[in-house]
Amino acid sequence: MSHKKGPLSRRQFLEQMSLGLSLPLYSPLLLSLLSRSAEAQMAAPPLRFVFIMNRNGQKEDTYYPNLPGDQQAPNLFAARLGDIVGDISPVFASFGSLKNKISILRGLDSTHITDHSRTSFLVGVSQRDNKEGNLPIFGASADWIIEKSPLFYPQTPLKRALRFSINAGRGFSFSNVGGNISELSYVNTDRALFSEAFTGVSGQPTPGLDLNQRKLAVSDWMINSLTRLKSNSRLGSMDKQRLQQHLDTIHSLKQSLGSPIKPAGCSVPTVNYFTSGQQRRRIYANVSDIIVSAFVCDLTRIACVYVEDFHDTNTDYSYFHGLSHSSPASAADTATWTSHSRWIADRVAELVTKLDGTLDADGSRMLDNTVVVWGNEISNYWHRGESLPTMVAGGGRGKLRMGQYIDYRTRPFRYYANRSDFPAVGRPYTQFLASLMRAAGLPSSEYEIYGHNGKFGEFTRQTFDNKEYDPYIATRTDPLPFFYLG
Amino acid sequence: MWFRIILFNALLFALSIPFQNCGPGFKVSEGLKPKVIALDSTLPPVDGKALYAQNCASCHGALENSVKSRRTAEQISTAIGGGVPQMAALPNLKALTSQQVGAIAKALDMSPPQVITCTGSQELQTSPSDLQRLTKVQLTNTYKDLLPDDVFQLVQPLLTSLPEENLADSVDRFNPSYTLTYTEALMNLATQASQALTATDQRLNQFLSRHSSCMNFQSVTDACVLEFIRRLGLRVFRRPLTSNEVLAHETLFASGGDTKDRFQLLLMTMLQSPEMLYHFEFGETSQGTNTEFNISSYELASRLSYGMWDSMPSESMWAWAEGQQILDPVQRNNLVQQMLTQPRTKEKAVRFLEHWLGLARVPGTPTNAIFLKGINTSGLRDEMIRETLQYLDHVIWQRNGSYQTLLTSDVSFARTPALASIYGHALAADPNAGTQVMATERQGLLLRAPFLISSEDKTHPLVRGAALRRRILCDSLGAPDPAAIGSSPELDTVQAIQQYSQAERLALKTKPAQCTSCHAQINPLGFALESFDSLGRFRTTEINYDSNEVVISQHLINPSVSNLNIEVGAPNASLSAKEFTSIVAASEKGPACFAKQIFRFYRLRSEVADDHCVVSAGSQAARVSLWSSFGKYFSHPSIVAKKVKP
Repeated sequence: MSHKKGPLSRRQFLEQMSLGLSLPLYSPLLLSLLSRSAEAQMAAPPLRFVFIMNRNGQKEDTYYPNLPGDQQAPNLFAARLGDIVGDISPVFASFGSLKNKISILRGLDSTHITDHSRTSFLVGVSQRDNKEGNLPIFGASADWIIEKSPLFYPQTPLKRALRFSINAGRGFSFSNVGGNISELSYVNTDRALFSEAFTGVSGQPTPGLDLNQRKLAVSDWMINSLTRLKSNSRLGSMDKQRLQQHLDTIHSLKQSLGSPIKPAGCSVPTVNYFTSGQQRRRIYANVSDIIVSAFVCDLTRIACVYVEDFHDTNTDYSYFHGLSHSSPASAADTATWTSHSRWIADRVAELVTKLDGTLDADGSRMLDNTVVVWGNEISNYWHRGESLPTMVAGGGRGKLRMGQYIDYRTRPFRYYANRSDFPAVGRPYTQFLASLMRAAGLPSSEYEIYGHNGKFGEFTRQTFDNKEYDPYIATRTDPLPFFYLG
Repeated sequence: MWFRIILFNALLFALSIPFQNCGPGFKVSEGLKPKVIALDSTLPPVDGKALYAQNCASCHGALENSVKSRRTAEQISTAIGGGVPQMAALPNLKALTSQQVGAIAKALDMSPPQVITCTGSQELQTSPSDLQRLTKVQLTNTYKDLLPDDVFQLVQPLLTSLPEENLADSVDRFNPSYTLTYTEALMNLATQASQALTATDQRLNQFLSRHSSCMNFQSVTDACVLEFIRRLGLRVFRRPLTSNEVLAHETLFASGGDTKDRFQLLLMTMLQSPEMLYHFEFGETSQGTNTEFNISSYELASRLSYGMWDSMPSESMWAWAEGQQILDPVQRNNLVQQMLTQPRTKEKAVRFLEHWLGLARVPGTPTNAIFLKGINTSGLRDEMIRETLQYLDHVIWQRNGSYQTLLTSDVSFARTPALASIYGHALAADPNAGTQVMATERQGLLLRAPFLISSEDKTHPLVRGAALRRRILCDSLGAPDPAAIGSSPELDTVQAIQQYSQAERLALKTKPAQCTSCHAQINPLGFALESFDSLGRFRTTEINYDSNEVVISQHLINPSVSNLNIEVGAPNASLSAKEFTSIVAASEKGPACFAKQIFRFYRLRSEVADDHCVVSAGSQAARVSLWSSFGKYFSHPSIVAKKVKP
């Protein structure tokens, strides 16, 4: 090549300089003398989904942030979670470092709930005969619709989805083939989930990428540049403070890049399975490890977890159920209930944090390429469907807006039967499910066959009498504005 | 946060609640006659002048000569709240209520402006400014201008997901710093862009040939690399690289792996250079002082291009900068005139208009079927906004109209029967022809539906009044003191609604002394528009409904309003909404506010006294041509001046 001709070209000279001899300013770049890997490594990582649900509902005051937000559109307010000093809320206390990676949605209404409904979460319809153990009256769950789509899985994966529930006969996923609705199977131990994921997997690691080191090198370059610029005498003191703040963020970024992030590369994980007598949080820690490892190996791109536990040792659901229906007027009950909700939230946070600490093949964080959805059976302490508690993490490669508390409740607030102890009315929850399926790349034709009148989900308005949802008759399965970015 | 919402006057719904509830528990007397209620507040407001004398004059001078002339309530609150430590330490200042701060701001606003002669060197006067980072829009456009279309398409989702700047409430909320989230996003953005640019041989070769005379990266020479670094560096740094910077980038390039890897590392680094991410303005070191100097020709090119386009200078502007013609006032004015004809200049101006008028926050239409009387509201809100934007386009760009024209023209561009019906005309065969004329009781911008509607079947005069004060007249209003806001349930009973009109009830609610410093300003303007219902239709009778949409009362509208208090010398009363908007149209304050709003949007900060000359020039221009008011901002002599905040 022409640039190699001659006794010592300018570049050859510079190369020698950069080999650590005389330019300490750029010495971190030596780390980035990295061979280029196959083009495939540059391909965008796959999109994944994790659906998590727990029983009963949430007490609004301890779940939602106390932040009214700014109006984005009629009946749409939003606030940045990053603006909150301290905890987002008592329930979300463990999400402090994840404020920019999650969104909390309020005012998404199931229009039919009259009892606990595990079918509302992903199917968007009520269960047969209004009995919580029954199948949905029609339709199919969003996770199944996504997993069967060739647009989501262009090639057949090893596992279309991993599903875990302590009660294997109780999940929230339902298939619908030819109009026949079936409940999809779940495994109920961490060991079974491991076998489900890794049986037959050899554990061949994929080649590692050096992108992390490249980012470190660029961070050093930026630190040098900003440090130099900060000394310019034509900057004011506030300007210098701002550049220092920028420097601080780069140092933080560098620290996170240099922290022990799980290297990209598939390997069969070692799991210390839960045994009787141990704290029950261990089960969910193992479940999240297995899911993350399965994602790294691209064995599957969908996982469902039913968190039926709420305490490290107490598994008495009747106690939990009774407490969940206690009035927020009882401070003691609310405090106890919140501790249980927090326990569940901590399990969610643990999984989200692990995803965030894992790099995908292109060097991006796995969480950024994932959509984690956390939902409930009912909304608050009543059997109501207004404002089903909904949290989303990750955002699915920018398809969904993160870092926000988004409130879709109708203004001025309206309540079913003028009961202000019920959550205020908002917009159909089906718009949220449609947002997820659109984020998965599915056209509406793939999901709108599973609902009423050519739309996804149920839209009965059976318990409402003030035309609350009439404005959404035609748009009830459009993606949510502001939240869905497309 | 709730308090902040009111303070910054953005959430119209939220704004209506505290103001409407202002007042103690007022008892509705059976014996009261409705017409004894005065629609303008008559109680004296909090005496801002006295408060200033007691608390401020010892440091800032007498009110009439105050060095803090025209400080806003927000600025004063910020200073007391810790922005100025010396002030934050004074207990008498800490004890001031928001009403009292508002009254002081009002007194400062009434004080005569400092006399600034806008001739000669005075025109170069500018206020100290912060180092700014690129806004999200600017960063997106810069990437768009730097990258090939196909690569830009790939990174666009990452740009879209960058944190929003939320400037709707106030441009002063702009955070000029990069947060950790932003820094991470920028890293990912540069990573993805550099990977995409080098993903295929063809793409890299195209990019290489775009910024150098070389066609093939595999046979690239040292000279090619040097040329590439210099030419791309000029666009990324928005100035020529120094010899040290060129050497540093060459060294960086040499430290990569294979050739493609080296280009990738170089691009990833350049796209995150602080020089790209900030608007550094250092001028020429040999000129001026460290705190006051003229910016360089390249910095001026960026000031103009980011000011007018929100993006980097064009190829021809680099030549203007290199030859320094851009520093010559006459040639610069020619350049500005050329730039004004560019579509992207207009695109940004439209964003300004949307921001100024709060069009993104127009509420939805009412749903009460009896109230609507058959009006089809499907898509109506969007049509109202679209029509307003077309009207603005017509006045500003098609007619090159003045501020007065904007507020008084009767042309309508309604395209749907619903909006045509609201505006009181038949649909023309070609609604774009400019031949549709609104009904006689309506004119101009302020009597268009987006500024009148609410999502309920009743009007919100206080929301309308506060918006007019803040957006159209640039008056500062204090925030209501939460402790002083009382509820007046007696005034919301069926009996009260039957006895009093909406305006009368609001006048009663805001009559207490603690409310009047602001509501004496807000109420008359809001009441002046009561001839238009919450769908924006003209009316002579106010009709009130209960929650079952049953009519419970009717009141004749009294369109006369006094104590408008727009400015000294302007009529202080109007007989109709149309007359009221004509008074604003003919005022000094209206076009001056328009010029201030332009300044705020384009500079991302509020104006202060030192910005008087450029604002004044824009104000004068707006009286003749609104579009020339934009141009005046960029051709003004002060565009070259830089003053550093100490």
